[in-house]
Amino acid sequence: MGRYANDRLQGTLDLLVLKSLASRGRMHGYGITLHIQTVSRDALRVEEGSLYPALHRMEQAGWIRAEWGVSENNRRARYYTITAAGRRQLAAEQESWAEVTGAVARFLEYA
Amino acid sequence: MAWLSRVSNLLRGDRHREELDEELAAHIEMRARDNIVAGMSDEEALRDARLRFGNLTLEKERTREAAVVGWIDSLARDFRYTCDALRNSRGVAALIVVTLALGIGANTTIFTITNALILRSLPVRDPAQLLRIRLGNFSSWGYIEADDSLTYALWNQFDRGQDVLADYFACADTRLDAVLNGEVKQTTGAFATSPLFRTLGVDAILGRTFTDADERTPAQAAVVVISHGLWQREYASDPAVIGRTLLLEGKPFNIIGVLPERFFGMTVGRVADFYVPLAAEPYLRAADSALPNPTRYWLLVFGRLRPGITAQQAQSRLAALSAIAMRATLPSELPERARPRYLRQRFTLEPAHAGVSYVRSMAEQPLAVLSAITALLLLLACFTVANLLVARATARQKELAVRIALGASRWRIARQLALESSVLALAGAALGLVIARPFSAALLAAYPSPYGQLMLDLSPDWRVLGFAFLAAAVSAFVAGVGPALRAAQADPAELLKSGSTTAPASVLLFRRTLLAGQIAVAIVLVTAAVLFGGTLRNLMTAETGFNSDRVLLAEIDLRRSGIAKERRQQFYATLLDRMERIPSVDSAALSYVTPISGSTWQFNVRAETDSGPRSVHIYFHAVTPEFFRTFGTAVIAGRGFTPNDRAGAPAVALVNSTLARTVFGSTSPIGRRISVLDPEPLTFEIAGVVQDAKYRSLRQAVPPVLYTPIAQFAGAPASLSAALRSRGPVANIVHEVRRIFRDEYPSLSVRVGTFSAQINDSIGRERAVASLCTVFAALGLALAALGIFGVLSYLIARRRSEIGIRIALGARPADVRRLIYGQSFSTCAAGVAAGCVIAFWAARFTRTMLYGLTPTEPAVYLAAAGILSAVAVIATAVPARRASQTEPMTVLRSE
Repeated sequence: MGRYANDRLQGTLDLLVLKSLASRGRMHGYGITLHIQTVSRDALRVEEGSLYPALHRMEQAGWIRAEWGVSENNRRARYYTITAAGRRQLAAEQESWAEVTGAVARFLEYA
Repeated sequence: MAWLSRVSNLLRGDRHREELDEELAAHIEMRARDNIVAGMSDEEALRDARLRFGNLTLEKERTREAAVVGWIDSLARDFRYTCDALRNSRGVAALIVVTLALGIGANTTIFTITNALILRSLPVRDPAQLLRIRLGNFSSWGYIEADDSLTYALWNQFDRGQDVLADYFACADTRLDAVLNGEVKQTTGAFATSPLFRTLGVDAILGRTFTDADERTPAQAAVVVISHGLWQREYASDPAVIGRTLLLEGKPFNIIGVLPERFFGMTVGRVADFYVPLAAEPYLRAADSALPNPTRYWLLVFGRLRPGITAQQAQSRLAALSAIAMRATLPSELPERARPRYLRQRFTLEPAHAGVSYVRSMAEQPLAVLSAITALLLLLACFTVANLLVARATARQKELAVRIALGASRWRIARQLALESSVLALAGAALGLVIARPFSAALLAAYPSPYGQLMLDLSPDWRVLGFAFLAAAVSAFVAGVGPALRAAQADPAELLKSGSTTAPASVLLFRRTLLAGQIAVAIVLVTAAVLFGGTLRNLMTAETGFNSDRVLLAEIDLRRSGIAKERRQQFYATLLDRMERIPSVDSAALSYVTPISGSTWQFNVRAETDSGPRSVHIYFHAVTPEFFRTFGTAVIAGRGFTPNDRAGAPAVALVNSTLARTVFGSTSPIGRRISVLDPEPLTFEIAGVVQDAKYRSLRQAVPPVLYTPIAQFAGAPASLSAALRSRGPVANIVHEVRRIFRDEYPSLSVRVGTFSAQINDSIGRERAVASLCTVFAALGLALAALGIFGVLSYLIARRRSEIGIRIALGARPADVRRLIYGQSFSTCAAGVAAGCVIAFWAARFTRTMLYGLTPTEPAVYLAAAGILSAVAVIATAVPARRASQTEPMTVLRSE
């Protein structure tokens, strides 16, 4: 399977992660997975194999910050928080997402 | 894998790698703990948690089993997701499952019957090794019962002389009058030599089967083994049945055993209720015994090769035995010219794992046609489902795009959709299997057979299950592959980026192509219905030469009555007299051959024509004087028969129009002579001409027929057919006639029925095929209509703004309707054209099943196209009306 131009779509996962961190604060990767699944009422299931590469990419981009902490069950886990750059990115992503879904909604209604 | 390279790019340095490992381990541990809380075992929980990472984790484990397990596991997860997705759109899912169930169910129904009748092995030990001995080079002589079974004399020769078979036996089907619970019933039975049970590995479930010892003393201690079915029906499964005495053909028999439930004998489609030792046949049939008759071919012989002998060796040894056996059994009564043919007969071996059947050869062609038609119906169902799936996938494009965005690969999406169609197809197959059983039983009950109700084991075996599974797999592929590939190839980024309509345009093209395919298949189904329906109509309205409304038939069989041969003539005369005296009977007649019963009596005769004597092949009828009045066949020249045309009086005959025309041309046949050479020379003078009337069947063209007075020619056969014309409705006298036979002629074997019923039964096969084809065509039309409706609705939704603008610019509703009809008809026309070409090609295989029309008649295709067009108009009407009522302002405002 070759690469395809889906930067904006790749951004969808980013959007979901950023939104989760923005609304819930500090979370580890597993928590993010559960959060997305629960809030979307099971409609969105994050491919766990794709989540960590995305988290690390966003960390490098400076949108999120990672640190080691202790989980509810006293397990060492890596926690993520959203940065100011991340919030700006989230706003931009949200706007473009609204654009896209608006187009899709129009399409679904009239096509 | 794009994300793998991304991962490796990310992971520069060991520290980083260790951190990621730990992070993933934490994630897996947390997931596993949640899994355990959710009820999984420790091991399961951990595995699930790992597998959710997909290939990343698997790469680490690097074990083959894990890869397979992982694949299955992710499949299981997709399966759960599929079930969720289908549950969310129950309506469409149910429609798809029902559509597929109809298609698969129809195919499985026909296959169940084909399997039971033709393919299935007998329920006996090691059926694959079972062989049948037949007579090769056999040819019948007209008055010998034609079959390639053996005479008793040949069986004796074979039994004594053969050295190739280890276990073998002879058997023959028969009908028996049995007294059961105080009532005489006609039942099915079989004669058999005792090795039958050993050879087939069949043991009695109660009592015992018969042995050589039972065969040695048939008359002193006649024994019988009964079927499981009879034991249940007539003896309420009473174990005390062993040792009870039973009257068969009026002779006492001792019940010694009950056979297992599944065993039905060697004849597929028939269950023998009584097994009688072959040696007891003379005791049972007395003077009518077939044992001493050297030209009565009636015994079926089966066996297994001796170990160490090849089929090749067996054939050559049998060939040597044949020459001796034929010389030793040459019947003295055989005419000189037939003797070389008798001597050329050879014993041959052939596989007999599926037993024998008299119905197979008759049923093969209808089953083949019905299989083809149901296969088409399934194809149509698949097209319909494909169309629904495309519509569904289109509606779900956003959802799929989001899943791709969340990291699902295209392969995963395609697999998901393929899984979805597989789940639907399997559900359809399961439902299809459920409906196939009762449908095949109903079809079998409706399918008339000259040998009585067919008794087949319709329980699904591995073949039927495999067939249904295969049908499901094919359906899933045909219906699912197009939509799945389309969905995986469609570029969701492109789709989401704008309100672009490129993808839906190709969707529309795809759906219209599918629709054209649906229409094409529907046309083929309708053509089949037109061809077979037309055939049935032509047969039902064919000019028969009879007035069949008020005619009652009674088939009379004296063979078991104890009436001596010399007294038969007298007996028939009194019987006819008795029939005529029934107050509600207008006229009564006896005849040797029953019209439209399938039986014939043919001879070569010598006719004196203007150009000298001429040999003609004609069909015979031997009748009593009132025959023509009773059947409503008109005497159109000369005179009919009178009671004066008795034995000893000058021999006279009547001819039908066809004989008069073909033999005597335009000259009058009256007063001409026709001579018969066999069995003794006799010359008839033609006294009159009768209207053409059907002879053997409705289908057969009227042959040249010669009618002779029964008293002058036929002598007194053991069986005759009586016909009665009633004054009122024929139903009124049925019971009276039955009662008279029961009370006044209790020893007689009689079958009473109406002539109309007999005519109806004679076209039962045509009726069955025509009605099934009509049902399938109706289903096909319904699916086609559904397809038209769906595609047009989609088209109108897509072009709604265009239509709105057209209306705003002054288009009238009629113009919009014309636009929609144009779209509908262009697709339908393509389908109709393709369908007609396919139907035209396929129809030639049905030529021999048709009557009164040919598969090349344009009218057939015009009719099929006409019917489909009517359906198309109806299916287009609603969407077209809706489109023409589009409110331009609403559309334009929302743009």
